[in-house]
Amino acid sequence: MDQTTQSTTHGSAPTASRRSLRQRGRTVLRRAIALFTLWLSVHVAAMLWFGLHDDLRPADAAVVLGNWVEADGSPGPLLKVRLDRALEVYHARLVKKFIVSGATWGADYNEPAAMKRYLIANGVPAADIIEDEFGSNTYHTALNARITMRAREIETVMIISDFYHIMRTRLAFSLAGIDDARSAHSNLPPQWGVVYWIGRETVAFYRYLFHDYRAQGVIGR
Amino acid sequence: MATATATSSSVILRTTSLHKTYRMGGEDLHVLRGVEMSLQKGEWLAVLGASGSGKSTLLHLLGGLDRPDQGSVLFGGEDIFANGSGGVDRYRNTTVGFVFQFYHLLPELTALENVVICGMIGNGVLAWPGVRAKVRARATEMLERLGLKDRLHHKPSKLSGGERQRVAIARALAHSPALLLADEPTGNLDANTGGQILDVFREFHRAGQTIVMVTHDARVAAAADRRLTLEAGRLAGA
Ligand SMILES: Nc1ncnc2c1ncn2[C@@H]1O[C@H](COP(=O)(O)OP(=O)(O)OP(=O)(O)O)[C@@H](O)[C@H]1O
Ligand SMILES: [Mg+2]
Repeated sequence: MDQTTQSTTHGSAPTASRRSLRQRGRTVLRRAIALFTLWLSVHVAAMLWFGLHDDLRPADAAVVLGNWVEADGSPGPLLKVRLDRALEVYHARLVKKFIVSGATWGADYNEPAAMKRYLIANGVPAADIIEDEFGSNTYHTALNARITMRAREIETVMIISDFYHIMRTRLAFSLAGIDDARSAHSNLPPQWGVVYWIGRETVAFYRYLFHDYRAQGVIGR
Repeated sequence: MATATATSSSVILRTTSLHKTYRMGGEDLHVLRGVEMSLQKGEWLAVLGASGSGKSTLLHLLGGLDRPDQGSVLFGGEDIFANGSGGVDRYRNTTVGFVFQFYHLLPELTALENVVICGMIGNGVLAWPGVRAKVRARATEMLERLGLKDRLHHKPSKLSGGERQRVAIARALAHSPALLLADEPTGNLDANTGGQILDVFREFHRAGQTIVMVTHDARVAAAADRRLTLEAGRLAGA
């Protein structure tokens, strides 16, 4: 191969082989980009399918994943639409109870408390809302949900979050030993942030997939 | 107040010195400080008060959504919290109907299905055709009574705010609850549409429905038989 290359490129051999190397490099790169794009579109397609295709079979409890809470204790815009979706399935009697899972910070910032308050204000009995104050990320939410389910004899749950978050949440739940979760997505108003969130979720999904959480020894069936 | 206590036999709902404190951060918020009220069967009571005065909190206690720290809620002379969580669940599901500012109808279902699904699962026998037909007939009747005859098979997204609220009212009243509790039922509607919702309440009230309605709007409260104002954690006649 080297021979032919050299003989066809009259004289300036090193430049030519460099050029062909560059060409080959470019082909490889082009193929890599094509593969990456293909993989990305398959991934995003799966994310959209899991996120937008709600599974509304009745469940014992809905697990609502926390998000930003305003200073006055009312849910931020993302959390509000999640809670509204939760209330829709509750009032249609598709779920009987709630696990509200989120982060707390100091004495004043409390996502589960804010979620509970919003649900009570819209007709859910306080006694049917279980607060998980240690749901600072999706994985912890899943683990704590598993523990709560055992303690409270909850057999089936419905995940409630934004559409781009549902697939990773399902993964986290199955890592925690909760299979067959139902899911429903919130009615997010269209916004550019979604593009960023989809990107972030894509990376986070593989972090969850390849991190050996089982090795942490917290999970068991 | 004198009329409310005159004939104790017709008193349907009564409270004894209700107290409720919320713990927010490190601070205690003593919202209700001895609320006493009594309600006659068939009466329409409006509870007024500034934002944050505790109107919703009181309504949640009356409906058994939350428990008071002190005092009791007596329905038909019986403490609704006396028989454990099963007792208060039964009270909430059979005796009370709730209407809120927002409707939270399931967007996947039609108006009729939104009312039916509630009654079906309430019955526990999803597949029983007899129950299904009865629940469906009752839901249809309720929606027609609320002026939604032509909207039965519309999804919520195709309905106006006032129509959605009427579907929510049909859902709340489909099981014929003795007590209708409403928290700012017109709060999300313009004056005209809000007026139509009050007309609906008026009609059910004329037919004997007992109603407690919470609002911060004196014009809305004017539709009721009697008004009480929540101030500094207590109720006062207005
Ligand atoms: N779950 C809760 N935790 C902490 N504080 C609460 C909770 N629910 C209500 N509060 C506070 O208690 C007070 C009374 O609230 P409530 O919702 O009963 O008032 P309201 O009269 O209905 O007000 P609005 O007219 O704004 O609806 C408010 O200061 C509110 O912030
Ligand atoms: Mg209120």
